[in-house]
Amino acid sequence: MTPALSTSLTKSFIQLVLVSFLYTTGINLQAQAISAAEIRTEMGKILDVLAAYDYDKSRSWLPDLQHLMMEVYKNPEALSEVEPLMIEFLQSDARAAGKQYVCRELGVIGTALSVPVLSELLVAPGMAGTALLALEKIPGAQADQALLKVLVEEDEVLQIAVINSLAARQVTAAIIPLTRLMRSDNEKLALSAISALGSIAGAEAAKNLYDFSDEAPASLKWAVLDARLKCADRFMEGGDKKNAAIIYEKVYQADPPETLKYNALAGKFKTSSEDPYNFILNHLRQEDPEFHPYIIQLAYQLDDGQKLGRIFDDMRESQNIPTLHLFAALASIGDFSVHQEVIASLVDREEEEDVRMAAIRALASIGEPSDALLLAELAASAKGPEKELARQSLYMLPGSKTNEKIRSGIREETGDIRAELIRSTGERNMDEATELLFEFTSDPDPNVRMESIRALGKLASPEILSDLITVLMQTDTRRERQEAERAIYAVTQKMPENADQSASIIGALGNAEDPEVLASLINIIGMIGDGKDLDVLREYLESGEEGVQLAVIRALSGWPDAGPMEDLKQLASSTDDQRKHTLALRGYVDVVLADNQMSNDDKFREIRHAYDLSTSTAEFRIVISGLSRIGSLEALDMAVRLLENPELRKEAEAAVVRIAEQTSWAYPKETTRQLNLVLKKINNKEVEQRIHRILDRIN
Amino acid sequence: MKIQQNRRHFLKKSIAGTAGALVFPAILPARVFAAPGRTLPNDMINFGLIGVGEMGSGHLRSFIEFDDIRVKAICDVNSEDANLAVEFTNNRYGSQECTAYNDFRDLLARKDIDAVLIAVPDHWHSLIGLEAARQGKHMYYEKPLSLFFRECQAMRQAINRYGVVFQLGTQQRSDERFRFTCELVRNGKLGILEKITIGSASYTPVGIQPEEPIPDWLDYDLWLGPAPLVPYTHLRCTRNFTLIYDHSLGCISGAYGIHHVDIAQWALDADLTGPVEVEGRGSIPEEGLYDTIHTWKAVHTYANGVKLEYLDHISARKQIPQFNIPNSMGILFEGNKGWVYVARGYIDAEPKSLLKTIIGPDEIQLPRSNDHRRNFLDAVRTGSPVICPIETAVRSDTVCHQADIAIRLGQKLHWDPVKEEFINNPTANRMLSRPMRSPWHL
Repeated sequence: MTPALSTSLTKSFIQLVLVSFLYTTGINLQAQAISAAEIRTEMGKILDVLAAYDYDKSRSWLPDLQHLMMEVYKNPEALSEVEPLMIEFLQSDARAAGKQYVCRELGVIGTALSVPVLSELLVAPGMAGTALLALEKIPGAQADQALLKVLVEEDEVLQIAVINSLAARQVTAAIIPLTRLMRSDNEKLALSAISALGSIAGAEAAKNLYDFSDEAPASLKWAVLDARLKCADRFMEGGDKKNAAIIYEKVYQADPPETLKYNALAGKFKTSSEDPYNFILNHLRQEDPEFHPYIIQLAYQLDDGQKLGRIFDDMRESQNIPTLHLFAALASIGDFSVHQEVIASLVDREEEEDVRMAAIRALASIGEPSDALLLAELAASAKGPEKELARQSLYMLPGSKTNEKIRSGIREETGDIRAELIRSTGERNMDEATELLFEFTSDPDPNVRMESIRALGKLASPEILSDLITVLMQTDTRRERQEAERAIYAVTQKMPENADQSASIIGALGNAEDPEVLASLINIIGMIGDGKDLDVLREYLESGEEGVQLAVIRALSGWPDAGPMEDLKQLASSTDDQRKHTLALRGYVDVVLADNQMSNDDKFREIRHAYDLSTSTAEFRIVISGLSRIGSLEALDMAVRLLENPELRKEAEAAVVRIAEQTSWAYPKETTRQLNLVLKKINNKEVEQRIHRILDRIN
Repeated sequence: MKIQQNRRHFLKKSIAGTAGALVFPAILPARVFAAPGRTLPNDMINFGLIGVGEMGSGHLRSFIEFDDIRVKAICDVNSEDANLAVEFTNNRYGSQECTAYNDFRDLLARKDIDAVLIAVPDHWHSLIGLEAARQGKHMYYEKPLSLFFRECQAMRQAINRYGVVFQLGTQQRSDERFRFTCELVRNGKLGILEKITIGSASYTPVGIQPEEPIPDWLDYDLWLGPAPLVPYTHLRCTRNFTLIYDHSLGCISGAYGIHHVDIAQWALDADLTGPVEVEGRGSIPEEGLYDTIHTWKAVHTYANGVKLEYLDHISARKQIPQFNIPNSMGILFEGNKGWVYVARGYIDAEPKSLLKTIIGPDEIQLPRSNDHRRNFLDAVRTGSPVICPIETAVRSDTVCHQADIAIRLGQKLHWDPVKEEFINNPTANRMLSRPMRSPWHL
């Protein structure tokens, strides 16, 4: 490779004027105007460099060319200065790679002036593709003629290329030669010509294709029909329904492959004067069942007033009603007339899973309030995806009347159906149901109780928080208590940010005689994490109940800042109880990392201390996991050193990658140095790949 | 459920001017009919994969888990990749039923294949999609829809003409966080929406790449297909093709950006339209193989005045506090009552209570899909609409093309979303298409 030629003058010139504004100022800044003469001069310099360009050489001129072209695009005077230079370039002995770039630009700015040189290039060995980059896009009859002239060449590859360009340009003057080529013995040429005639379309092309239909060899037959359909579609776009209808009908009658048959059918549907319902019904009756799904697609084109649900009655005698596809289509377009049939299929326990699923799904769009109970029943009795689908349809069933049905259903139904209805109140945002839900938090059925508590978490307002705390105190099982903890916490989060979110819970601590309830309340205080509550929790750290103590440690561990750091550190330093030690150590690490105010240096110091307090491999791993979240060079260095410990190597490798991903932005050099060291130490392909990705990004 | 835009209207509008409907079914070849009045759908969807590189092989591992498809054919111009994927499939099935192909046309010509995955370089997307549609194959189609805008229109016409199911691989619509965010926006939970900011991916440039001998396992001419003829260098034919302008628009489209643009469009209920104005600035690397736009800022304006600021995430994290987190490839929606920032695996909001919002049945609820591939297969089996149909694909792609063209032209552009062209700007309109290398053509 030869060294890249420099365009430093151009670069400095253009960049000075245009580029430097990108991220420092608004995008509306207008570049300083450059005169056409200046543009010509600069373009000349770039083209001089471009003349020697090849694919494996520097393309440092490209940004300059693009910036300069921006000026050309908006300055007609500059265009007239630049185009002759490009023409001259194409006539020169510049390399093909450079000419390719110039032709791309001429494709955007070129005029009739460029056509002669492009015509020459078109027939030059190996340059047709390059010439067409411009010629295909230059508007006007001169370019059309240049392409047409080449059609007579005895060069199949060139002919096909030109045919495709004529088709893209929709050159009507090409219809006659293309019609001749359509009858060529060369099948590739014939196929290209047929396709091009379809693209150009119009009355003449349509007639010529029609004339050829009967005589076309079997290998071309479907291509001709396809091209004729394209002509019909274009007639439709131009408002000529009559000619379009003729083609659609004839192609349909020719019994083509299903894709073409569908195209013809859809065209017939749009051009037919027959009642749309009857059209669909009659075709369903006449056509092979395999084609029915295509016919049903026509439903998507119906007006709102059209109802297709009666089709089930009108086809009752048929062996093959495409139920599945009708359910899906009619539900999608919101055709409520299919409702009865959908319900019947569910009540009759339709055996086919796909049909049943389509029916359930349909109710989300076309269901009625009374369907809520049916859906709840299905959700209660079904399993897997069907259960989930029934739930989703229940949640999406519209209207306030549906909500009324659900409320009355909760009272009237029992067991799992009641539980599903209760569950839906939360998902449907039925806040008017909260009173009712409280009633069912003491239902004998544990599922009903669980769902009631869960829904209350979504719906209850802070004003009734104390009622929810009472529910927590009355729960019998750990599962319910945990659900109540989540619900109470969710409700506290609905309070304004300056409200005392934990007041009610702290107020309830004194009334909690059951240690498990007490632990739950402590858990919630931990979730809220209000600094003023730390002293309250510290009191309970001295509790004689181990469960309460552990709850306090967990609550402190989940704190959103480093407020309880010293408590946890102290505990980890002093306790002989291994379980409490590990919990406290984990909490110590967690609160350090959670703190937004602490610097990375301080965090690292604390994590380093946590490492020193660790007494088992499991604890070391907890600390290393925490270390990996600190984006500092000290953390990276520690992680690298930990690679030497075989027991911790895996965790250390993961930490190195994670830390390096963070430090690579601010400390690319230091990170690179460390990562290169690590690559020499490790033998883990996945980690190596990840490190290389970071290094690639840095470099 | 109050659907802001009636689905019937959506579907009708989306097919205006062309034949056909949005999505549909028909696993016809193997359909079985049972008792009178009841159709038994056949058990298996015979499936083919076109492109089993990094993306396609991932799809293979996921699709093969569905028990209602059977992977019958695999195609790749890289014979090593194709053979490995076939071996994996046949080992999994304990049979020899899956066959390898080099040329997608041979796979698509098989009558027994019902549906295909298309996961090839961007410059090939539409041509293979068009042929698949012509052959009546339903398709899960990796994003983006197109390399240049006219391909979008050709694909829309083909899908509508031939009546096959089309799902674009912008799978964030099947992610609960993104759907929830869009529902918050659509239901006015942020107040009046003022601005959307997208942080897309960025990339590391590479130097000049030498010409290399074409490996014997690669059909390089077919790999290039409609792209300009250029010498082989191995980096071109890796996943990084997305960074080369002959093959992709880069991070502004297929290399991530399209995902977030698609979500912005969804949140704005703009699946039948799009921005009406765009301007932008950007840069390409000074040197090397990769020449797609590297850093940029484009500002799109919708007809309702909402601004979409579209940036690479490196720029976004420097400029906007919400992006200064580990996952800075995200979308920020800002209204006069709050904001939501959403990225893959991450969501944040202010006020935080927004995150606890329950969208009730009488509010705007968006279609639910929790598995993008399953959503596609359901559409193939039952005719239910897919979550990323062709019209949304066209409109999301359009936004990416707008940004790319505006940056390259350095001009403020005005777009007519009905005529689908720039207003009074023939130069910009000429950038809506690219000639293809013969014999390939739309």
